[in-house]
Amino acid sequence: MSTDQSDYKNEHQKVWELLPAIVNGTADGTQARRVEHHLGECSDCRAELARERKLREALRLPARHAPDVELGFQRLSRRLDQADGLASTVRSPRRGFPRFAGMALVSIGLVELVALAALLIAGARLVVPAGNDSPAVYRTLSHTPEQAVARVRLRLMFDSARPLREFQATLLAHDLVVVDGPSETGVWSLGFGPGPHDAEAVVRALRQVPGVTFAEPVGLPGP
Amino acid sequence: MLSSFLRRPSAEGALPEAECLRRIATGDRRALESLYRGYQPRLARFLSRFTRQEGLIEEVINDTFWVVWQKASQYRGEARVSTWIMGIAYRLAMKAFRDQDDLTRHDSDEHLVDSWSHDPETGRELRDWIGKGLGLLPVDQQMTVELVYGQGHTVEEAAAIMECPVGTAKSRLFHARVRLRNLLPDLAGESTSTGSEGGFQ
Repeated sequence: MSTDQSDYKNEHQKVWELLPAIVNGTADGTQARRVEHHLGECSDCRAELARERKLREALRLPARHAPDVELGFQRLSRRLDQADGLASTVRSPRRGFPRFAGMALVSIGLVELVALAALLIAGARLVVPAGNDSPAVYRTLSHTPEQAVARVRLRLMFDSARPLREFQATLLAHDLVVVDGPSETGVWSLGFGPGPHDAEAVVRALRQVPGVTFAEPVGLPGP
Repeated sequence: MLSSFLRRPSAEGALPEAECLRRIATGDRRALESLYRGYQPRLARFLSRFTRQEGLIEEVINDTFWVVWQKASQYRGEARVSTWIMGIAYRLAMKAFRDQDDLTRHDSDEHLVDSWSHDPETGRELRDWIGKGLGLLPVDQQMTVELVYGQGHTVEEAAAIMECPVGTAKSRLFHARVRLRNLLPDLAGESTSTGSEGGFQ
């Protein structure tokens, strides 16, 4: 193969690679000039360009199975409205709760939280007067009303500095409902909507969500 | 002549999509609606290539805009807005299609030839015929073709959307083009056989 033939073949291959950019209009001026020059002497590339323009034309025709845009946006709006409705039913995180306290709780980890709960219980017993027969009422991180305990599947802390709608969206995305909370330390007790759910998988996903500073399943071994 | 090869004015130049996202980040529903109306047809076109279920298409579109609503503040402008939104839609679509096992398939090349013989000049027939041709490609190649030709993305943008190396996207496009050339040899119609227009339309 002569040098000229080899050069022509190389140029042909490079121009062939540029044709999609020509067809969809993303080629720059240098590329366009290069293609234009080559097309003047290459019938194969001219045919390919014509074929790919037809392809683009066909791919840009309206979809046959397109849903209605009006109905679609109405449904999205209702979904957003429902999220807003949830905001009105969920108590806002306590104002004034220092963020560093929440971060500190995360940093000490679940084991330390359990130890902290035990200390709180022990401390409460110390201040209960001797001889008082009425059962003491303790409120710890794991406390929820009895009827709700069965529904609590996980605990969550969410950065209170972030918009509330992010918190709502996180709940909706994982079909979570608020059973109780926030506790004094900002911990939400959450359950699931109807249907089967994998609490551990959800917890793993929650830990990837910006704003989630703590997520642990309830009644299941930790990771 | 040269001007016909250069980048076409994009819709993004006319519509301040980045500004739209900024407003969405502040909770502006009108901005969300504007973006939704602008993108719904092209997302529907993209998704309908892979499923015939209108309900599923709408679900993916609405999930996409749900994420846009939640994450608009995280858009940093590193990519075009269309690339960012298409990336979200792509990931949601892949998950939805996997869950539904609903990636559209067509049967054989013979079916393709039969379809083409009806009336190749009408837009609907052309769309269906090409749709059947694309259906014979692996899904990742179909996606690449749709992103580049149907959605107007560069190969680099297509790679970003599909979360794969640029070389992989280039390879997918290369193999798809070669296969389509063999599957749809008459795509350019009579104009190709005469070679008279030479692509300078």
